[in-house]
Amino acid sequence: MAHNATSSPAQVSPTKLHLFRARLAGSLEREGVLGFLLLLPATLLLITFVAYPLVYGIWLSFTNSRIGVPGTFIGMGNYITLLRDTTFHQTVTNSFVYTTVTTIIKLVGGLIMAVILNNEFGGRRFVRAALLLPWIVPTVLSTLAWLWMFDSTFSVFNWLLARVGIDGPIWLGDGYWPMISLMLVNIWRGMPFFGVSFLAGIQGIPHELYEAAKIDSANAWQRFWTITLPLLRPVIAVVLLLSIILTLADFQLIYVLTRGGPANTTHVFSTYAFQLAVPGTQLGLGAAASVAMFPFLALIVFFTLIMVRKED
Amino acid sequence: MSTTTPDQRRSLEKADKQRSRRQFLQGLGIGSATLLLAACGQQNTSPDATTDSETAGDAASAPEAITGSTTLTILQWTNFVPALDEYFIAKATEWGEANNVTVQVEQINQNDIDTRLASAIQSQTGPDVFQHIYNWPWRFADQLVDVSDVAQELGNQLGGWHPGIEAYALVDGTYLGIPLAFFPNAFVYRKSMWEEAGVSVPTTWEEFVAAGKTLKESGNPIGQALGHSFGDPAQFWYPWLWAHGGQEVEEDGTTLALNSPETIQAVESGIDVFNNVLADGSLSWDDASNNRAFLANQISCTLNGNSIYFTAKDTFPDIFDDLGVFNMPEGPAGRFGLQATQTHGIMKYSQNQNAAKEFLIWFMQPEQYNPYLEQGGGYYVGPLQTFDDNAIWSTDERVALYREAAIGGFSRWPGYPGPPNRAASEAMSRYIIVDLFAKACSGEFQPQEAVEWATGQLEGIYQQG
Repeated sequence: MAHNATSSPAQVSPTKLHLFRARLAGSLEREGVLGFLLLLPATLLLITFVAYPLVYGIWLSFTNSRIGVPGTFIGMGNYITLLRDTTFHQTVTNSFVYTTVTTIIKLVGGLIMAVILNNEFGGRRFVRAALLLPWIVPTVLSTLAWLWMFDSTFSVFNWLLARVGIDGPIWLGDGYWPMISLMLVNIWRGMPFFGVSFLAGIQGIPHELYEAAKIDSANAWQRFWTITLPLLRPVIAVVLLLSIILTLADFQLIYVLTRGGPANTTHVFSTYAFQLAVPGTQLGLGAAASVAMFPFLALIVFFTLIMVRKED
Repeated sequence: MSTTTPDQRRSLEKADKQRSRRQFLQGLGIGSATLLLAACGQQNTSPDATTDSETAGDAASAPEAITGSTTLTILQWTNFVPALDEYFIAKATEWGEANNVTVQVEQINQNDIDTRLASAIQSQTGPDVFQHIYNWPWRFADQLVDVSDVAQELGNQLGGWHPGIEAYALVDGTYLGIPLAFFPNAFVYRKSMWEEAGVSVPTTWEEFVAAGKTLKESGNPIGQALGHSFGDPAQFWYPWLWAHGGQEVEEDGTTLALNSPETIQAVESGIDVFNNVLADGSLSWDDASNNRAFLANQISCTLNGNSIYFTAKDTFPDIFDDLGVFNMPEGPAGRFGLQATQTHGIMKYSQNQNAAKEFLIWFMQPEQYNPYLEQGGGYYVGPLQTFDDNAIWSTDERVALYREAAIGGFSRWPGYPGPPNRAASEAMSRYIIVDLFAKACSGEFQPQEAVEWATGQLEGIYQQG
């Protein structure tokens, strides 16, 4: 039919094509449509790689699914099992101790690092770049080096301590030392992120404020306390938030150094969830151990957002 | 016109595959007989038999069973004896070229294999064949192909499977894997250090502890891992538990029996060993720690696979000459061992199940397998009785002790005295028995508390069935 022939794309009349383009341009002028289109790729990515696994993980946590076996809905069964599981109790404690101690030390150390790096001194650029190395090097590689340094037989630390007459600890096998060792490596790896982020924040603070404070006879501490710290608070909040989330969910470092041992004393949420779900094959129970982390994370995010809004 | 249903077609295809495999194995039998006759000087070998005799050793053995170009992927551990890996890859390549199959052998750290296996199962894609250690076929039973026809015929043809390794592959009456080898453990010790301390090789755990205390006082302790690693920790502490009369479950394999006076005795004795016999650092040791410590003269004895022997042979001749071997001592409840084994399991999702079976049959033939054992120099012990007389076992009496460890009749499995099962496999993967001792030895729990903790963990696991 002639009518159909004229409607094929190759034969669209110039007038219709013009009209279509005009309408499209008009639609794109509307903020809602343009915003939706711009958000679409990121939204699809998030749905595919974040939302779907998250929802699937939550669903799994309510099933008795095993590796290769879909399982059936068992309600809160896995959570009840975890509540009775003393290893899980230990895991929760470990996770909090690990996250809290490392975050506080990284925060304080990062601030000191940023203040020092903000000063003029020779080789400043080199030092700034070098300090970022722990954060840049792949975690597994750097942690393997630490594993050697903590080795009970060949520890370089113990070798050095022996030179000054001190009997070094068994870093990864004695009492609290395994957890202390993990914290040490986490702090070493994470502090540059704090330092560099705070440095960027400090450099954004107008110099006039410091000059005015100097005129008012404020010493270095007072300048830090009354100018740097308050103006840095939004940066601190964001860095803290990111660090807490990443530390609480830390896996690679612990898996390489201790695998949650000895005797589960270094299991955190992610390593214990992995232990249950993958080698243990109990996917549902492992998912529940992982999902159990969310309420804690939600609380942390809530308080951090309050801190930011207070600033606003 | 033929009107076979999909089910009928599948049955026919299955029958064809079984027939071709059976024909192949019959050929092997005839071939073996022919070789024997030839060795005895017989000259009247039939042309057919000659052709079949080539089947056993000739890589181009089963072309009719594999159609089209295929890629077969096998995932194994990175062996402590590299020569075994090199030989396996060379043979896999040889067989692949002869059968128009691309064989890829991927090797990773043993402690990471179950992770790869789990992800392959969940995604239903990955290597066609996985190397399973210990009792894994029980844990991943739903995902493994029934290879009973092949396993039974191999067993019949080659003298039968050793029960200690067959128990891991034979899941509820169905073979879900082709056993590859034991890689057994025994104690290696430094003769000079022991002589210096005035102690001799123990035959009982009591003597072992007494010797260990003297050795530790002399500055040359025994070293033993108690961390989270697949091999040495379990291989020492499970037999320690059994030798003292403790057990995870009753003979039915389901009724928990850990909380007993015998287990508490085992834990109390274990604490004594940890404090007064073992080198410091056991809790952080993995399977390689004792190798390093032994070869660095830091310890005088350790329970280990035969890898220390080989490294010493190649690199430390003084230590090699000074190295002695002994097997598991006897405890109040008897003599027990736990040997690591490897079993090839074919995945149900694999599109190359037939090629996988044919390759595994071919590789287990004496023509391929005996040289494999020789490459290992005694690190591996064959799973079939026909390999018990391999020449490697007469080269060094120290090596022969590893064969005794594997097939000497005192090796057991997690879940003993019950049969191997899924729960025992999971308990092992979660280091429950190892951590029972670790928690008591580290002082975190009193012996009774540690036993109660482990019982609680086992309850959760065994309830799942």
